[in-house]
Amino acid sequence: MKWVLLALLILLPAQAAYAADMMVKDAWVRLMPPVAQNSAVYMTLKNMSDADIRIVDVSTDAASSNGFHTMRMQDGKMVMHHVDSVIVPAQGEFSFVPGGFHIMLAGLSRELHEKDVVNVVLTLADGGHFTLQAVVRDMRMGHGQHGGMH
Amino acid sequence: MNKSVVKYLLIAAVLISAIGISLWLVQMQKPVVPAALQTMGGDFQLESDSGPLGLSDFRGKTTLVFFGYTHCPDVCPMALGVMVDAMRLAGESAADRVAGIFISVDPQRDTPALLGQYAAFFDKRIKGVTGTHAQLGKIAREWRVDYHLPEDSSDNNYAVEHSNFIYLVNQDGKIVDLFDEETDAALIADRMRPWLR
Repeated sequence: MKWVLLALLILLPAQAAYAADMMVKDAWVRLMPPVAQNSAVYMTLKNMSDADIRIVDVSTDAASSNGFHTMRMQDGKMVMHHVDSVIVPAQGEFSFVPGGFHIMLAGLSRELHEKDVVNVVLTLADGGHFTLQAVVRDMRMGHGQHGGMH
Repeated sequence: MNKSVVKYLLIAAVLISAIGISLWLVQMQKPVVPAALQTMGGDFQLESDSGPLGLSDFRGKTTLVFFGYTHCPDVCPMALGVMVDAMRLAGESAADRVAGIFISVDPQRDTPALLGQYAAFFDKRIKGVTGTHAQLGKIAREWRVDYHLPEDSSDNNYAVEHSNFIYLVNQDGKIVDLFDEETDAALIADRMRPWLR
């Protein structure tokens, strides 16, 4: 997995034509208790082009399995749904936020600490890649759940 | 009857009335609990990292209760974060009279020892507990919690569907209010205060 990620990082400049139209704002990872196996990445993606950007895959250097999930109320229960892809609309934004869409880090491969950096590679529908860094954030001390996006 | 006795009797009568009125006022300030909540909840005995732990062990404390599981990456840590913020916002003077309980509905992966560490990460006053499926099923019915474990749990990263209520339980162990992980912690703290008196 690490080699794949490295390869992706090296290849990035050559494939950045499409990804160059995208910007990331406020990418962060939730600090979880050390015993926890999973966490989530949140961010806002901004598409500056006139065409929708579809993101079809994600990998990180912090978990064995990664994917796009959304939370939905269903029959009075919070149900987590896997989604195959997300679309950042033309001249618009797409946000991963607590309680909404998140990038799941399933099976953390290393213990995360506050301010650690997680490398995230998004695969776009055209095969291009968009890499970004998300910083681990401790949400306990009055940062508030909604503070992440402000 | 001499004058001084009458005077003392009068003072005593005034004092007793004043205490009575004060108690009545304090009682009046307790919010009305919706009828639906009055039929929910009830005591339980589950397992914590330091042995059996029941709701009755929280008598005298105003307690926030949440049902979830530790593999939950989003809603559960959000809810626990809100609980911690609300407990802190409820005030320094109430710090030792507020508590939290995180009940895992996923005993296959969440052991009492693991839950103890998980809950303490958020706040030492939050206790993590779990039990057998039979115990959890009974509590879920009584607390109107809905949860669903996958039939096939061979993939160790399965997700659990669950209700997202944060219950406010008063010092007598009764459910008096209901929130969720999206509720503003300041609002929960405001609703906790009358029950802390």
